[in-house]
Amino acid sequence: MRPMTNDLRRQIHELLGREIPDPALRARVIRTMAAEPRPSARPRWRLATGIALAGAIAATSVLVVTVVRINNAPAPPLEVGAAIGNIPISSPVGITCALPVVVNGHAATVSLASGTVTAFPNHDDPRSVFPSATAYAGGRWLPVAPEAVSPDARSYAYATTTQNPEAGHSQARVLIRDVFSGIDREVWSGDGYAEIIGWGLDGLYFVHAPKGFGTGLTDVMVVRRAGRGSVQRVGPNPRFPKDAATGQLPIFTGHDHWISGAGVFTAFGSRPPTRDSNGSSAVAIDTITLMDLHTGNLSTWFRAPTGKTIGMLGVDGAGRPVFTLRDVGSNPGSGPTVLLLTAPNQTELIADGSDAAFAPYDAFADTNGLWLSSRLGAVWLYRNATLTHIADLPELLFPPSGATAGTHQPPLVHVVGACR
Amino acid sequence: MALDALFGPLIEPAFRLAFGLLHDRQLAEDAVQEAALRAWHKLSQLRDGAGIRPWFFAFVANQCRNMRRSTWSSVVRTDNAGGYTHGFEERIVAGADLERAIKDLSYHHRLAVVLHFYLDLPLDEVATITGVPLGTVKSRLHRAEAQLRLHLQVTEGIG
Repeated sequence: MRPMTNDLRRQIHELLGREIPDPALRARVIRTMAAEPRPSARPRWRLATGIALAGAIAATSVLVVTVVRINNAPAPPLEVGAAIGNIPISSPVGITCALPVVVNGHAATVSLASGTVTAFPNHDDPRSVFPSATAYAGGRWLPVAPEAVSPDARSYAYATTTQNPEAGHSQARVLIRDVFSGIDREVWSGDGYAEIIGWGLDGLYFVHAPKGFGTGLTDVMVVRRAGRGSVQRVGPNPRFPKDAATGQLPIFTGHDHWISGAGVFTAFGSRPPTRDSNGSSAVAIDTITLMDLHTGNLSTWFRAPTGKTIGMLGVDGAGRPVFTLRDVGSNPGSGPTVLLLTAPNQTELIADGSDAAFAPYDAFADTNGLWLSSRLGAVWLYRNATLTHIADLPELLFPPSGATAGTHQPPLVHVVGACR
Repeated sequence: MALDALFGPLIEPAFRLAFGLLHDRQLAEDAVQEAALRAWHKLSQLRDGAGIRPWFFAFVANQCRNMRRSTWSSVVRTDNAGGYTHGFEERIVAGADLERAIKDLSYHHRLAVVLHFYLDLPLDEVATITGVPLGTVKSRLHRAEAQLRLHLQVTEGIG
């Protein structure tokens, strides 16, 4: 190959190669796909049609019986796992519960009293894709993110999107599945895309992106518990909020968002994209905003200094955002500063970034404190202003599966439920 | 896990492809997500023996092309609301560098460059993804390289 071509190839690699995707992108994409119905094979459409017709007749026959019995559906049996090993635990005094985790796609509980690791078989549910969409609630593993599970753990919400290329649009649906009966109830449908935020004071909140995430405005909607499940738009109000500094729209663009009491936090990039020395451009997530769920009004709670980027981890038990703050372009797994946002522009330091072994990935709050899972195969607990390393979850017990096999990276840990 | 095993390894290179075409991180992630959904729904159209990578990348490339259209059209709406997109475009115009040179390429030429020079895909796979004969791929790359070479010579001369 000519030297000029090689030089061109090298320069293009230097220009574009520094831009790596969000580590959560893969999980997010797979989770979204898994939330869709399984596609059927086209050559089998006649057979499928026949089966569907027969199924419809059969379903109609049993529907009456089902509807009558749904409210009295018995709880499905709790799943039983198998002990696969013991690990050292350095748990604070008084915490003896079992912590549900998903590690390298394996669902398990870790006893903080004995160190026993109990593994559970992965689900056969097509919507269940470990580790991206798994919750443990009410003694059951559910195929959605923890925030999608209702407070009583009797149901969970999920959204689907049906593409219609011929019509040039997509159709979004929001459904609630009864855990006991397994029956779905559609609570909303509309053009575009939808994404579940979580359950709040008034019901189920979700984001509606009529034109797709990243390509237009988004609305926060609520399916109200009161009013027989009526769906209303919550905000943002005004619909075209203008940031004072840059004019950027603090919209909900499919980025992370968390319900917090009477509000929902989101993080987004308010400043124009920046370019590094190699010419790569990136939007730094620099602003945390709270939307009032009663008025839809937005208020800025935190603005990162220039050159810094925010990584939302979750909210603590009081509904306050927990996030990482690191230099734009730095490795997210290299010991970032971790902050708790206690009030607008007021933060509490959880970690100062000096411990490279602490590389939080996400957070889950329960009555014990704030569980922080790590990119480096560990679980930490933030409690009473103290950060404690609880346990390392070894790759030996949680071998990588599927596409990640053989990569020899530290296990990716998610805390997916309350420690009970 | 089958879903992750099938599509998971393709997500990062798909992002690189999308970023190479869109030069916007958020748009690139959105493009990958939407392309994955479309591909999932069209999975039955994947012929036996056909490689999933070129098949999936074709969805990503097409999604990026559509998003470029919608993005540029949304610029008007965003500007009316006080968005920063106008400023971003000014920054692009101000930067006479390789990135601008790539941006100045036509969609088809840019796609061929990203696939071959950035993702290092062989020419026959580039032809499969773009849906054109091998000779057309070579022609596009030749013309794109000539256009970029002019830029590189200018840059080297200045530097």
